[in-house]
Amino acid sequence: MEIDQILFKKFLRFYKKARAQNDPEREQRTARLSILKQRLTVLARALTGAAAELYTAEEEGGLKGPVLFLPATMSFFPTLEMNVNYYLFRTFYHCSAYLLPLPQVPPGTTLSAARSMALSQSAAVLPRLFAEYPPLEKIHDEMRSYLESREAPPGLHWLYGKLMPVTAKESGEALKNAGNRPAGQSGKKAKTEIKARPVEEREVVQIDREAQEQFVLTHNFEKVETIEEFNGIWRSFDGNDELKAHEEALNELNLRHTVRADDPVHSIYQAEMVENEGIPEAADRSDEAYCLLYDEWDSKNATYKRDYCKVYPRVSVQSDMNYVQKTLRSNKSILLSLRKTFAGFHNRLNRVKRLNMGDDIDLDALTDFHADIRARHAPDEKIYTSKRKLEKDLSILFLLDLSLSSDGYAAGNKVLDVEKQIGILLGELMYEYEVDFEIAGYYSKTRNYCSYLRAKAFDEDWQTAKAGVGGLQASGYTRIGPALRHAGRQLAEREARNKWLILLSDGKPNDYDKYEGRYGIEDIKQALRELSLQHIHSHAFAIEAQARYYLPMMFGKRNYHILSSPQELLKSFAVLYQRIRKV
Amino acid sequence: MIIEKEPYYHPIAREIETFEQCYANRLPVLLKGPTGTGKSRFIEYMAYRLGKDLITVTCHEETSSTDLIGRFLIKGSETVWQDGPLTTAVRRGSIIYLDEIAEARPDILVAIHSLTDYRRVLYMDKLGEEIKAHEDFFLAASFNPGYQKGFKELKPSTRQRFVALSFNYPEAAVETSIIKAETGLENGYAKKLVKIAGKIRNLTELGLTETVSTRLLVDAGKLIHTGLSPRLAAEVAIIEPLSDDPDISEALKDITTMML
Repeated sequence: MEIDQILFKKFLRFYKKARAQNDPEREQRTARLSILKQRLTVLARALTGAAAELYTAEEEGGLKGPVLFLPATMSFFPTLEMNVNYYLFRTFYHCSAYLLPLPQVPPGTTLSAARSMALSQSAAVLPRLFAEYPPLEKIHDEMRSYLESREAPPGLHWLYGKLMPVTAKESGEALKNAGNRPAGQSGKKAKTEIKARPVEEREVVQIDREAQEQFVLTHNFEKVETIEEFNGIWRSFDGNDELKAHEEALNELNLRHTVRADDPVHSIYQAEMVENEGIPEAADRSDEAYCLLYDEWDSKNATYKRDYCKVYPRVSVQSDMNYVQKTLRSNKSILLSLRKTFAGFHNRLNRVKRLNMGDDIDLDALTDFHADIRARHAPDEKIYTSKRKLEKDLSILFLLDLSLSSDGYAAGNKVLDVEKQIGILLGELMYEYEVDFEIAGYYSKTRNYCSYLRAKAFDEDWQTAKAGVGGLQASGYTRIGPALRHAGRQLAEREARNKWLILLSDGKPNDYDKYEGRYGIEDIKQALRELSLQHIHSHAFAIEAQARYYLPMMFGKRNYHILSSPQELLKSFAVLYQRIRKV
Repeated sequence: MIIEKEPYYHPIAREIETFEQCYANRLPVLLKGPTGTGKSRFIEYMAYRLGKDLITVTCHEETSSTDLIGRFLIKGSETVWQDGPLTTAVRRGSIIYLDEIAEARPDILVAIHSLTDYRRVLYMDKLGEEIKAHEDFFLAASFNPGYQKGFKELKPSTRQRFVALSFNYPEAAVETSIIKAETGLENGYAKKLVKIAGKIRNLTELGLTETVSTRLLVDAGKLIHTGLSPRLAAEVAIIEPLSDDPDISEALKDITTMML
């Protein structure tokens, strides 16, 4: 880079920073979507009755099916209350519009046309909105007159948004270039991670390996670095971590094309995007390795896709005893408290009555004893109660999500670490109380390669197996259904009466091929129903705060807990264990 | 308990007729449905309509067969037998209503088995006696499938011993008239409360453990009728009992603020 370019960049950064800091009054009145998002999501779901989602808009945003796009911040209005009301108005407005039979916008509509269509549609939406929610009329009128009174009116599209085409098209073409190598196994970690600008529209393109190989580098004889939007020309993924250097240029571009690739990740450009349900299914692949076939639920056609997923049961070969010891050392007090809680249940819930000897007198038995003597019958001498050890009529399978998303962080803790630490602590506890348990992990790379990695089998000794839990690594995607079905098969083979599957996961279902969104959620729900039919109970520990908005959809209202650290396990596990003992 | 005053009950479908036929045939009835949908009120109403004595037992996780059948008590130097509510009902020919039956210990299900089929007898193991049920004895129970989901389920063998009646939240017009009749509230507010309930019920799959029942709406209606501001009444009678999550509470307040 030339000296003048360096100077210009530095000046630009300084200017941007100074501008952001110079207006504390504006900062005070700014309402932020990140703060209001959860409240507005619940509101949108109540108003529409659909699984509505909220995303950050590129500008004013709008409505796209049950997805609302809203600006990241709002400071147009003079008070914080008005700016918060702006978000409320937009949510109520778009939810009312969603429930009206309004015409769809054809794809390819220009921005100005989409805005003017939204403005003309407001004539149909507003009367209904004000009739149902009268206070909104005043809020709307105040905001509109304020916007129109400004010297440079920002435009009414900020009130009504723009119309956005719903593009859930499904390509009939099967997914190509899906090898069996799980993503992220390069051994190197991505060093640079940058948040991208919001993206409203995205198109998934399939990698054209042939075009990549045939690409010829052309030299422009100009000493400039360029970066451009995807225009159909394929270049090879060179694998250099230059994201930081290109950050500003990337902010100028309209990035709408995504590819699914299994090349190693070198830097992460993280954008919040709408779930894409238009990802094609993977074509059938045959593999000689031993695998088990499982059905998958196709909610659209309410039928099973028979023998659709291949699950490869494997044994974890990587072990890390140091990790286990470190976990046990640093969580000593948690383990101690868990032991106390566990012992509490153990004793309280297993009081055995009518014994020949025991710690306490059984009053019912004593009354019978007394009655028998008075009636001149030979009394039963079993008049004591005692606390007995836990009956070992329980099998628990802990299923850990090993997908790459677990390599991320939740509340400052690495998700996979939280999962592994919880697994190790609970494993230690189960071992001490002689509970029959297994610890396994799962990841996937299309329906053809779902891995079920066993770290500690039911009949395996914990002392030797626990190093395997310490050695678990993140890789691949999150196809939960086949993992649940395979775990269910393991549990079904156990003789215990009380069987539990406990899932530790961070996130939503997704895979290299079609599994995102409603399709995956419905498959998981169906897999859980299958477990229930086999009298296997399920529970989820979600290591992610947002999970409370989608886990109930899969696991039901009470069958999950949200955690972000092993410390929070104490309370959640106490509640769960109470459930386990009551079943 | 003899019900002297006719309880208010708005029929939803043909449950009154069904119950009467079940009573005539002495077939036990299981009322299924979420909290606050009128199951207990229905039983009270039917007991009044049939002119029968009603004994209600609210089951909890410590309710055992001893609590239902009876126990020996020590009185001075003697042991005295005390009938439990089930035995009393069996002897007197009352209607017994076991509310939230799935919550109770499994041994009560064993105790009622012989009462639910053609035998209609109660075996009292502590006395070594078997009592033939009075001709008018009738057994009803309630069960909330949503609440007990994954927690405690009624075994199919138990469920098959009952005729089951399903209860759910009534349609908007019916619910409005129930609120009006129960609270004396004017039509406009009653309608608005029902509309708010409709929005909140959309959230059942999405995070709320229990949703707004007709009972909560009636409570809110009563508070509004006696002079509490509608928004505050909705907040204390509907929103606060439903959720402790600040985001959910705020979102529900947004709805009530905009609708009341």
